[in-house]
Amino acid sequence: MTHSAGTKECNDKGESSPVSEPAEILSLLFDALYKGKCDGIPSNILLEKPEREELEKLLAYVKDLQTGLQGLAKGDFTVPSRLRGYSGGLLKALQSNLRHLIWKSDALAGGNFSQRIDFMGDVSISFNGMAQRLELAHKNLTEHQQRLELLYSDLQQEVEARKKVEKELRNLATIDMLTGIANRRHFLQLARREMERMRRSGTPAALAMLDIDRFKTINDV
Amino acid sequence: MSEKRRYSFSWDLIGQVDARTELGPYAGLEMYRLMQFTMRDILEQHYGTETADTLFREAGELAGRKFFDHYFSRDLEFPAFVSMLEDVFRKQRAGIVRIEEADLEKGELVLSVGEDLDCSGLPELEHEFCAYDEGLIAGILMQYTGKEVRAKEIDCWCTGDRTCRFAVTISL
Repeated sequence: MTHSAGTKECNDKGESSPVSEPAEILSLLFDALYKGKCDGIPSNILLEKPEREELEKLLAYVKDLQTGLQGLAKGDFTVPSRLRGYSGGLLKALQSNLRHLIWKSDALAGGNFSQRIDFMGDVSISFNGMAQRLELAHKNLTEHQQRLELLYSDLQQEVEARKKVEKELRNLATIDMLTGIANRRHFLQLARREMERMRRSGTPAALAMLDIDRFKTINDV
Repeated sequence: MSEKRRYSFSWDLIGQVDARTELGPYAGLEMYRLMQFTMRDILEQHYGTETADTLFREAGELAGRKFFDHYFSRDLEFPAFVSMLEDVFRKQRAGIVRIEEADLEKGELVLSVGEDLDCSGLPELEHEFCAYDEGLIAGILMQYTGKEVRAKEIDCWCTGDRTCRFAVTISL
């Protein structure tokens, strides 16, 4: 930045005061926008008070914009609150979109797969594609789980039925249907087992025989 | 108010929105704003700026409650409710709702409304403008939560779609 006084203009009292060349102002703005140097108006820039104030406002605006952009780059979505106007609005819109995207992602992570977005072009296509696939996967998993639960329930019923049939078959094989006591074959099995036990242990056993008079008449029914 | 009321609102007053076979259910933004802003003008002339804003906010709140009753249910989980709110606002061309933060346990919520029905495309003003929207948002959330709700416009910016940001406080 060169340091030189430019054309001279008259103030209210008719006295001339030095004013910087437009090129110096443009250079200052270029430095602010391109290099990020927004530290106010250097002492070598000479301006009348109203123009100085306007330039200060402009530089402050550029600084706020850059602060907001730096924040976005670092993941901080707090835009300086005094930032208004078109450029500030664009920054705020981007901030708003990103914050909304975070909220939507949180909702998705919480199990609400119906979330969709409709902004930021490719981001929305990717997000919606991911949400759709998650929703489909969740739906398939849920259906699969329901099918498994149904199968498990059917299987349990089948096992119960089989147990019941087995018990009935066992009863049929060992119980005399008329009297409800062990049938001949089952009695012989039990007796054989008991006699083997007697031989092994050398201990005696007793066998009681009961005869019921005229039982034949019942047995023949 | 002792006399019998004539204009107590019910959704029936909206009538059959599909009755206009030639023109359909939508009207121009100009006509909507013409009606709203001239009404605001007259209210301000009669009652002053603050009262006019209060009346607008209260009307918005009533609208929000009735709007909720017509379209939504309290049974909805919050994310599903938000999705539905976004859809209905978009279908009604009232604005693009985006939740930015929501902590219902703390009773805090921040949302923005893009392409807002009331203010999109307006020149940037030095004051908050959307008193009706503040009421509308509060009314909707009041019905959903069953609690007192206050919505305050905290940011209104000019991007061509004129997005407004609202901070909502729900009484715990």
